[in-house]
Amino acid sequence: MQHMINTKIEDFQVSAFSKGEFIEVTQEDLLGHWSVLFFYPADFTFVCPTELGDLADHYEEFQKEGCEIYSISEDTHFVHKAWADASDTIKKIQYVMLADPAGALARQFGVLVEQEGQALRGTFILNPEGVVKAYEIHDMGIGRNAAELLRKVQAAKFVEEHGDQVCPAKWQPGEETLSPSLDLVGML
Amino acid sequence: MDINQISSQSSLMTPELEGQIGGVFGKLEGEVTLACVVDPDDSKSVEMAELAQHISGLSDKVSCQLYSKEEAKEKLPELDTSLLPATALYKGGAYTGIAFHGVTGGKEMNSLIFAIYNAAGPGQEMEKRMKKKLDKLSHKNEIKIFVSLSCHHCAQQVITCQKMAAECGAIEARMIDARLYPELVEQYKIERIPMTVINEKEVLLGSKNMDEIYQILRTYK
Repeated sequence: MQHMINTKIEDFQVSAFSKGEFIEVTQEDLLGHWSVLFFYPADFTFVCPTELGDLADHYEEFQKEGCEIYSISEDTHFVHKAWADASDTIKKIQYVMLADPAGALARQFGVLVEQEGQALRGTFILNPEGVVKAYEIHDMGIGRNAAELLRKVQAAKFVEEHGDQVCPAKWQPGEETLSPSLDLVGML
Repeated sequence: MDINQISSQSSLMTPELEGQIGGVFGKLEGEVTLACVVDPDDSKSVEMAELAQHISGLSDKVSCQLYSKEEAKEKLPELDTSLLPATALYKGGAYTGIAFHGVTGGKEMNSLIFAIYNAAGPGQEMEKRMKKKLDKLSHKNEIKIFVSLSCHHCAQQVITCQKMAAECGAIEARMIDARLYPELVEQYKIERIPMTVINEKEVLLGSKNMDEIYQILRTYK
């Protein structure tokens, strides 16, 4: 099984529901800033609105990181609107809700369950070049955590800005001194 | 405990390590002294004093002198003795600008051995263009490198900065094991290492090359 890390997003064009309006979104709209693609199985389900609401509550923090959120299901943009009209949780969403009824995006990211016509709960973090830097895929019933997703976006940005020449610090008072180790090869 | 009672045998040393260090010390050209400022009642101080004395026993070109904090304040006024243990390298009685706060275990053993090699000579090679640039620095630059002993990148950063200090009298480069000084972790908001603080103003995260460090130093006139 092939992983998707460092895979660049392919061309696409889909309809979307955004702040009460219908818009068109292409892969070019995802370039120039960090993006989160947030797949979920279907509108009008029970786990999804809590996830999407959690994401909506953290949306401002994602924006401060220069990161846009795109939720995606296999419903049409008309269904997204109907869901927003019917649900207070969905109504408060400020990010773009992509419609992928043909399954093109879900198939591209390997989360489409063909026989059900629904997407697994896949989350993909893309850098400003549209390249996948982190992702997770959950089975249908397993929800995700927006705060943890925000931490991952921040970590991905940090590594991109500072390279991999840095280590996270975890201070443990009272630890014993590590035994010395010398690695002088090629340095003298 | 009396300072003079501290052992010159370190439990951190192994015969294999002694052999590796001996190979490097066999190349030393000049003499250096490890000035080790310790609190004899502090276990980390004693650990570093034992290690410094043990290492000095591996070469007749490396000596070690232990100081209490009070002695150091009088005899080594150029050294920051607020963070103990503090170990500084002296050559011909002069401070080289190279110091370590903490115990140089783990990956930081590399830093200490390279510091001795670079201070005593022959030292690692440095590009002539970089040496010329460093010679033009006039502002006294203070570099603090916060590290963790398990971090490979940290040792690389310490070696780079202390090599610059060995070549340039206007640079002081001090390794600080952040784990031992939680007040500094809080003060500098250290979450990732290596974290290098230059002249208390500029902060670098990660291991950088000499050019990147020099670009900051050159802004101080």
